[in-house]
Amino acid sequence: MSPRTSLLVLLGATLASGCGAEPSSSGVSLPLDVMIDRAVADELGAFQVVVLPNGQARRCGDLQRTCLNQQVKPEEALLLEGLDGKKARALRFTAGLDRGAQELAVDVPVGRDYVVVIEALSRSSPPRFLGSSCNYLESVSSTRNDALIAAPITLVGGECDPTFAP
Amino acid sequence: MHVWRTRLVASLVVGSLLSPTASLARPLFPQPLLFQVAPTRPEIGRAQQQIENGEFEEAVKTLEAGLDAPDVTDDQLVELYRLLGLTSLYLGDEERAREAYEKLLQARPDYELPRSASPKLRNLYARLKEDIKNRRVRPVTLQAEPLEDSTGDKPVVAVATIGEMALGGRARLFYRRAGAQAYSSVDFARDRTHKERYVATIPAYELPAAASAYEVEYYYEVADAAQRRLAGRGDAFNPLVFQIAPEAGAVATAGERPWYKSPWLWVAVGAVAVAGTAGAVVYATSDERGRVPITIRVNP
Repeated sequence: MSPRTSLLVLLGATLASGCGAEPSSSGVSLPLDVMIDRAVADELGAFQVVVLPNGQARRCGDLQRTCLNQQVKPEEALLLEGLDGKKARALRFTAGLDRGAQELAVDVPVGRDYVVVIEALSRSSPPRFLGSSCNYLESVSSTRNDALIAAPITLVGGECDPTFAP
Repeated sequence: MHVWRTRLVASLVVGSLLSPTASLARPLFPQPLLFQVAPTRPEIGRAQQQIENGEFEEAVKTLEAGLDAPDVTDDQLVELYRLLGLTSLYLGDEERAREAYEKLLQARPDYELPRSASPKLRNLYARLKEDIKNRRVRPVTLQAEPLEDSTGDKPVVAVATIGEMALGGRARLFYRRAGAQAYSSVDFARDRTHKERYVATIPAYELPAAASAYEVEYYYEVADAAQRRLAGRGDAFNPLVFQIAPEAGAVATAGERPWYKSPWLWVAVGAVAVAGTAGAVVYATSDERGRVPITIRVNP
């Protein structure tokens, strides 16, 4: 084999070994994924609950794409009341997950056909959007309401600030 | 000779079963008052005619169509299943007969064949009952206290005890303001502290306060996944009733002139329209709230 041929073979082998998509289950990317998830999870600071009327007319897929405040006017959201008596259109609760779940309660105006959007907020200031959960709520009675088991939130990195104007 | 005897026995059985009231047996259920009688299902009459004509397969189709119809009352359900069981026996389909009588017993656990039924049929029915008992298929039972009269703008809570709730079954409380055409419904939810206790709430906004008292008609129903009634109290045609008392301070006065000649009527109509709009706005911005527990979950 001539030196030129050898060099070409060597170059080809080098290029071939570096081409193609890296398998997702490779030993390198998995720890990296976990680290990214953990980093986002560590960043989780609070949850923000917003309830919108006309639930059936809304599309959860769209509402979850980005910050809710970029898609609806603040006055569209219902005025909620926390257990501490605080009233706001977007109630915030400090994150305190227990085995991936957290229970809370809000006082919602009695009525029907609502959508409950729960946004995960970062600890940073101003907070960043980390993901959301969109849930249809058929009715709210003044006496007793079944617990709303919200759809799981998948934490992702986001840039927008979910803060609602008071 | 044998053929004639078989035909005679068959005629006697069909005759006795199609007219149980003609038998010497005491009526199983008290006859309802005339104004309470629900419209007869056309399928029942048609199936009876088809059975008399020996068109058993056609009768089965007619009866199945009747069972699939909505708003079948308890009495109609019993009659449909009774005829279906009978027809199935004539067709030699003991399996379907068994199924029909099983459903009949679910709707009316105490149902007995009339005494005029042939011993053969009575033996078969007894055997079916025994089999059902051994298989521990128990009928769905529903017990509920009548709802008490209430005042407007308050929710009304109904509590029922439902035994042997069917898998996939659904218990509902149907209600409507007396005179309204359609019923609304709320589902009963199982009380977490008591296995057989179920609670349903008619929301306050469905029972608004009014100047004069009005009645609300209601009934309870447990239905299986195919919307067939398994148990109930009252039905769409024979509802139970409770009253919403008039608003405190409201006085109803009778006019001397016919109501439609009163100028106040038209003032009132206008006022109602304005009040209705205002009420809707007030309701939309109502301060009445309900507590909603929420469980947030985050994917790991």
